[in-house]
Amino acid sequence: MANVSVGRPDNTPTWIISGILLILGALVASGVLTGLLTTFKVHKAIELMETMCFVGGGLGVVTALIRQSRMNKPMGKLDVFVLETIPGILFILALAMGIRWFAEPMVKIASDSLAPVLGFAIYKVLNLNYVVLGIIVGIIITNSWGIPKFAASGVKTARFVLKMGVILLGARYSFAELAKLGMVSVWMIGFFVLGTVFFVLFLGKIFKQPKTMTGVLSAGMGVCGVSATVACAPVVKAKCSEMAYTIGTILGFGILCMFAFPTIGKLAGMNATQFGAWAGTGILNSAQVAAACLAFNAVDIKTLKVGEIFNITRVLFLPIIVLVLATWFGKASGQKLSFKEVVIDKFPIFILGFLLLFFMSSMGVFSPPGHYKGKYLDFSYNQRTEVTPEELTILQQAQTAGIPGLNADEQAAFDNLVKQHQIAGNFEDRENKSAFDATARQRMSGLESMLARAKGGELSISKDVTSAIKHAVKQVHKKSKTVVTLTDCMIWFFAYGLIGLGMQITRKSLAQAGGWPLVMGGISGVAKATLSFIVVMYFVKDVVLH
Amino acid sequence: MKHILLATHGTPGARKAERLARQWADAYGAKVTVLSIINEAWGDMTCDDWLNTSTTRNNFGSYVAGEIAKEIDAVWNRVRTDFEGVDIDFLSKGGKLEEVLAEAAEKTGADVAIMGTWQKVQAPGFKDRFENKRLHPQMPCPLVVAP
Repeated sequence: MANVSVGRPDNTPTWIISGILLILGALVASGVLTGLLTTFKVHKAIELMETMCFVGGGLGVVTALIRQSRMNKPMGKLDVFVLETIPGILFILALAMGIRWFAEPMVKIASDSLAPVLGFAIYKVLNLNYVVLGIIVGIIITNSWGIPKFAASGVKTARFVLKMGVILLGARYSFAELAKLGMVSVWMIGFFVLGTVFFVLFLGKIFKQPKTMTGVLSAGMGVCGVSATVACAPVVKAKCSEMAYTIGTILGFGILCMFAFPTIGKLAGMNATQFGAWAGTGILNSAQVAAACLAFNAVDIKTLKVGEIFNITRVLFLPIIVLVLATWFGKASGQKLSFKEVVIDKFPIFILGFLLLFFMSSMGVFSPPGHYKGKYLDFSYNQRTEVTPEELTILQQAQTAGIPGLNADEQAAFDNLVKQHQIAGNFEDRENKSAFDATARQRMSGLESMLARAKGGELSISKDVTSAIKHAVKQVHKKSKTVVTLTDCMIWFFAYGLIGLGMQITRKSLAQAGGWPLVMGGISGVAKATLSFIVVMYFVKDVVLH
Repeated sequence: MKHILLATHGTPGARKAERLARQWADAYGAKVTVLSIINEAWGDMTCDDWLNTSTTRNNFGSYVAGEIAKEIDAVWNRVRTDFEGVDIDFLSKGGKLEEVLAEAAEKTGADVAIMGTWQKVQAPGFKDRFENKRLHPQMPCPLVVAP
């Protein structure tokens, strides 16, 4: 009876994942991989890699040992909620680490090497950063091998982790920007959500579809995709086939949007505010809004901040839409729903967490004094504080062409910015905090001197180069350690959550799309995306984000 | 022939299988077990929903289960009428189509399993079809596809 598992999946995968993490951690700590990691331009994350590998691997070993000792015992709460969940969590975490630190750089390198042949860089066109790659990997796993049995419990944590990501994002807004973005988002979302709902109901009449069909489709296309379908289907009494059609249509349209939106946004020259507003309005699925925003720009979270405000506004419209549909459907069916069933049950509670973090941040709980006035400087290595790839290209071109009139300090600072992609001290000095900081301050001073002289007409620097340098300077101005930690956690939560969510998108669900619902969904989805694009381009201006 | 396993979800193709099963049941005096398969994909229908509370998702799950039960009930009631005078039994089970059919044939000890053909135009609704290459190796009894 020693091997009886009492319904537990095998322990072997947990041992393997733990072993991989510990070996990777040891290799990174020994310095064997430093050359490779430098080539991949992820060497600045070495310390984080070691920590995550050893903590994850250690946790895996402990979990595997405890599971082994409980293999022939009945499952208790500790098993169900902790021990059986950890292997799946480690599985997704290992995938997220592999994708962020190894797969994404390899895709970039391969894409760059193919660029001369193809004439374009694939990763730029399809925005194949770690977020999009994560979702793709999740979809591939679930549709080829299926979610491994040992990971099934852990994968379910993706929903919770994504909500945690949104809650942590709350710490990154100021009153001013939340007020500005909030007003724009309420108007846009209000118009487009309600507009799409009524448009689909109208299309339903044109195509002679039953009310149950148009009801559930209008919620899905108008509000937030599958989530709205799940919330509204029982209210409008949708049939099984109608739910299947709606979910298939929404998933297919959402995946197309996730790839198309960032590419179109970049081609159209949208800024962070415009793209966030467009993605938050035009993309149906809330998770895909986050993915598209991070695909548009994963280094700087401006886009994500705007997109999520629009997304949260839309989610807040869900109870209203349920109420509208309940009223609309109730007239015909005679059913009555209580306020609790319609509004309280449908209210996304995690938004209260977002607001709590926002208020705590606004009260200065996470930030040093003057945080938003730029008095706090942080030069530590962080991928998030780098200039964008587009800005780097501009800076590299300017370096090659040469900027006449630079003094030695300015030239050194500029050269280093191109080399390190951000203002920081020397990588070799990172253990010596004071030397590291002094070098970085000298470099920042050199770049600020360039900007000042350019403004005074002493130097001739193009607008793009000026903008890139300003961005680099701005990046070191604002970071409280707590906020940086919260932001890094948030980025990892999103990466983790989106991989897990990708694992829940099955080919069979997508294949349900078809018939008139697909036509109606296509028309309304494209109409919403197009109209919101026009509105955003003409009426939404950039908002100063901190 | 003593026992026929009839796989049907009430679509036009499946109804051809129902008619053939009725004819053979009459001709051989066989018992018929009507099998309704609940596709496993229903388990994934909440897909990438991450906004709703677990209560809302559970409500949705219960609602879907209720709707599936209603649809199966409707098919069974009609078949019960159509098969009046025949010794008939009903069975519903969730899982992969091919595995469930093979398991049901094994479990009921059916002498033959009857199903409908692939239709050129799929019936509206949940789109999933038996895959012969998966089904055939698993079948413990002869399989008839009603033309």
